[in-house]
Amino acid sequence: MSQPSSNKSVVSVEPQVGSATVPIWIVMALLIAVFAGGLYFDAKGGWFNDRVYAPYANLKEVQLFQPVVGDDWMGLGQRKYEQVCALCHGVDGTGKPGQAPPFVGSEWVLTDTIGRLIRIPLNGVNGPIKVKGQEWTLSMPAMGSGMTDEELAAVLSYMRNSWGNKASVIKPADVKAVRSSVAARTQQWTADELMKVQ
Amino acid sequence: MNYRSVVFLVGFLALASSWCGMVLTPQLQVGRQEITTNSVTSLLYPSRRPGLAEQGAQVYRANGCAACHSQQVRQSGTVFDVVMTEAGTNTAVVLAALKSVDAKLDAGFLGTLPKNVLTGVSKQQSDEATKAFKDTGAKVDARVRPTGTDIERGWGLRASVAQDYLQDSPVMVGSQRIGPDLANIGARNADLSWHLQHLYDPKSKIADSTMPPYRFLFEKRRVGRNPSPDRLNVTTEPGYEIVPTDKAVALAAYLTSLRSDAPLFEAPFSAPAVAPKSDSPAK
Amino acid sequence: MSDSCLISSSTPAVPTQGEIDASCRVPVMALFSGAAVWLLVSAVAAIFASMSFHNPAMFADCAWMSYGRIAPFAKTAMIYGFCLPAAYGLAFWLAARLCQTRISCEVGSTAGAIIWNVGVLVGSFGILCGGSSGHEGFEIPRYGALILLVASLVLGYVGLSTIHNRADREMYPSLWFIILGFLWFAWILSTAVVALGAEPVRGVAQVAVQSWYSTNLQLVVLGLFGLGALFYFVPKLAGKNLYSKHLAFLALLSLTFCGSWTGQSSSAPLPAWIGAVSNVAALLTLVTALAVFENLRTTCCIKAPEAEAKFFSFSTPFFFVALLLGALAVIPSIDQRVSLTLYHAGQTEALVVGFFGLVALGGIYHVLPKVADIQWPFAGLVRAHLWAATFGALIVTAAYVIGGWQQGGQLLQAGVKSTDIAKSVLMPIRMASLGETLWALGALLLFGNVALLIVKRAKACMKCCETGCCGAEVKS
Repeated sequence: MSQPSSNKSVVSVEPQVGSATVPIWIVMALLIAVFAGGLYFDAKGGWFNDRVYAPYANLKEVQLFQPVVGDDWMGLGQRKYEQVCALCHGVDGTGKPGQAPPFVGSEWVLTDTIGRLIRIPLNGVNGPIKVKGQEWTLSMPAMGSGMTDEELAAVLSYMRNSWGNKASVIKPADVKAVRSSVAARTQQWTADELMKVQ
Repeated sequence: MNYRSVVFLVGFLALASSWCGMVLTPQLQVGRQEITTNSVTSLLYPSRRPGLAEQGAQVYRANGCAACHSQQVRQSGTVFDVVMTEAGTNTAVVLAALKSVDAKLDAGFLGTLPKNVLTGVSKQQSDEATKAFKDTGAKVDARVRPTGTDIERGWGLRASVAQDYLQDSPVMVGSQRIGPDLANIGARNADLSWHLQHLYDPKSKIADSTMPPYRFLFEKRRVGRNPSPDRLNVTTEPGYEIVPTDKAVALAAYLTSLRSDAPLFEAPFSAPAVAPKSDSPAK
Repeated sequence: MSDSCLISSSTPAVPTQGEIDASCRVPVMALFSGAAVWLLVSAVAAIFASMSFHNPAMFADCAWMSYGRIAPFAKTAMIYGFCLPAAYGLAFWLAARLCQTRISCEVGSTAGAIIWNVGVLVGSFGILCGGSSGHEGFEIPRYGALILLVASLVLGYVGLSTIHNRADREMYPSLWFIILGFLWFAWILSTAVVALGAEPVRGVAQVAVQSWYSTNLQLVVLGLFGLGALFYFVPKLAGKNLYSKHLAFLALLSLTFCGSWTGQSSSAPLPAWIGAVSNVAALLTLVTALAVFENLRTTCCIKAPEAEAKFFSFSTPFFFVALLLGALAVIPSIDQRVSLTLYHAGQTEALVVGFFGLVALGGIYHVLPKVADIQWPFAGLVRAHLWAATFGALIVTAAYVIGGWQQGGQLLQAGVKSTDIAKSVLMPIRMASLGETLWALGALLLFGNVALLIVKRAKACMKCCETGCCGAEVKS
């Protein structure tokens, strides 16, 4: 350590620390902040519930705004349709080009041979199918197999009586009958098979 | 007081508390959520992105799109709309009920349905109105409608919640809205070619856009014997065409796959009677 | 050399200040020179990033210059390239000086500095090449973060073992802050490496971890190192003692207990309590500002003639501004307006650049000549850098906060088109590029000064090697 250290001729002393007490106003400010924070959390915090997201303040409020499930049958059909079918076939029943054929004016929907129509959601359809003069190649899964007889009947009735469609209502009993007759079937229908249904 | 001996303890407690509060608890609460069958749609939500869109998410990440675009919808409140869907046959009774709910409504109201009887009311008001129409033969529906400027802009139907992001890694919710929110861009505009053209030259689609063009995601090449079927509809030097690279196609696929609009318990709303159509796709 | 890396149990004779400074020479010079280079790189990159707002099409054909890559690159270079190495360098010197001991492991700390810079280099260029992790504030790719973690463990160990070797058992408050800074950073970085990189948590839990990490890095870690330095330099340059250790402890307590819970956005798609708790914490963190304010006010004021002293005076208000901006954003109407806007970028700017950046610059200007044992080649430039840096940080902060306020107002009007919102932020960002240019000019001055200082130091070393004194130094 024989370095020349001319610039360190003045040895500065390291600072020391005093021990004055914390002024009371800072303690007051802390208490006020804690109090305000508590109020704020109570109003906005949802009490640590993992299902409460802004803008809701608590679980009760979230439950309050859950959509009411009505008791009318057509309404049930509409709700179920919008939840299950509308993703592909559109809320207005016009379908999706290249993916899902339309329901508006479709001979498959308005058919009097309701056994054909009921079979489609129960097992799905595979392969080419002609709808309103247009050829579709599709593979629809058994979208309706999870619904109850009443729900499926409501959906199909809604489809047959919406967007300008007008046809007879399908009763839960109709669905029940078809369901029991195709209970053993696991694969999808083809259009030809469906056409054989009378 | 001698603080030397407690500094380590204080530091450890502070760090451990914030770690438990802001890392561990969120992980226990939302980090263990699973993709579930949606109780309303009966479909898996969120659904898996197609492979191409999955690759597009990595293009989105690599190019830092989240620096200007958020992927989260804010909601400021929730209200009810009371909608009449069918008037029924007993017009006189329905009219009386209508008057009791809102004195300004008259027979003209029953002309074209469905129509809102009440708009933006509380749960209590909506319950009272629904009750008034009970046994009148008219069908009314109390619809739950989230509010807020994001929703008015058409950026989403409801607030974003944790369930919406289960398919994403990394999750890029963004913290900045220099550009529009993209949480539902796929629902607003699912046109792949629009997105490709917009990425190549934003001004060609939105005249006053300030978004930088992403020309490096495209290739300018000599037209072969046949023009490429993927080429963009833009003018360039004669004899050349602009063709999107795999990255651009993947990014566009990712953008069109972005939608978070399933009804959830945490973010309730009634499915709209008609599909929301925004007037401008870039909104 | 190897035995000096171990914590020595016997207390050796107290070394002189000259010996302490000499023991810090290589590691601190390595850290500070790296910091000076990264400061310039980040400042230039920030200017390039803001170019995209002057002419969007400027870098349309160049992927790595595009805004989404160069902006996180600039931030990464600033925080990981400049702030943290400067923090470590300052902390080493402060620890050695305050503990009246030589730095415990010269080789280890120099190696740590080198590993660190390799990590920043690899990580930040990874971002430019499209390797960004996608997590805001932690864009550094996994491999870069892993190198940084190794380096932070090495550097942290050196710092802690230096403090362990102290001559006097009692500790000056700065040391509390520094100790926790070392521990804190290693902990949060390891959490981020695991929970965001190696075994990413699912869904928005990532958002919670990422917000926790970046606020703990920017507010707590940089706050701990920055306040540690401030509590040393202000009394020292004022020629007084620090007013109260109780106030210093209160600041430490509130910063670590409350500051570490802040940073979660109340608009993020996380359960409501997370944002609410975080907002409560932001309110409580104001106590840190009050405690620091009171402690420094009563210790006031710096009378030292050195230009670097002013850096510390000017940095303190930025700390208060940053905490105040955070606390204001708790008020629901303001929160709603400023969330997802430039406002929070302004807050970060005040904290990272305004507060910590100025403290680090003051520290570098004060410490580097001492450890190198050479005066600054251009001492006059220090004052120029002071003004350029202060105004640079001030302009950027003000532009972002005001711009964010306007942007938020427009976001809340559903009638305003999104292109108009985008246009409304152009002006503030263009104003900010003025501030960034000033900051970059300052960075250039520091770079020039440091480069010449190192050249002079190397020449002096060569000369003394010829006369044979260098060997004696190595042996000691």
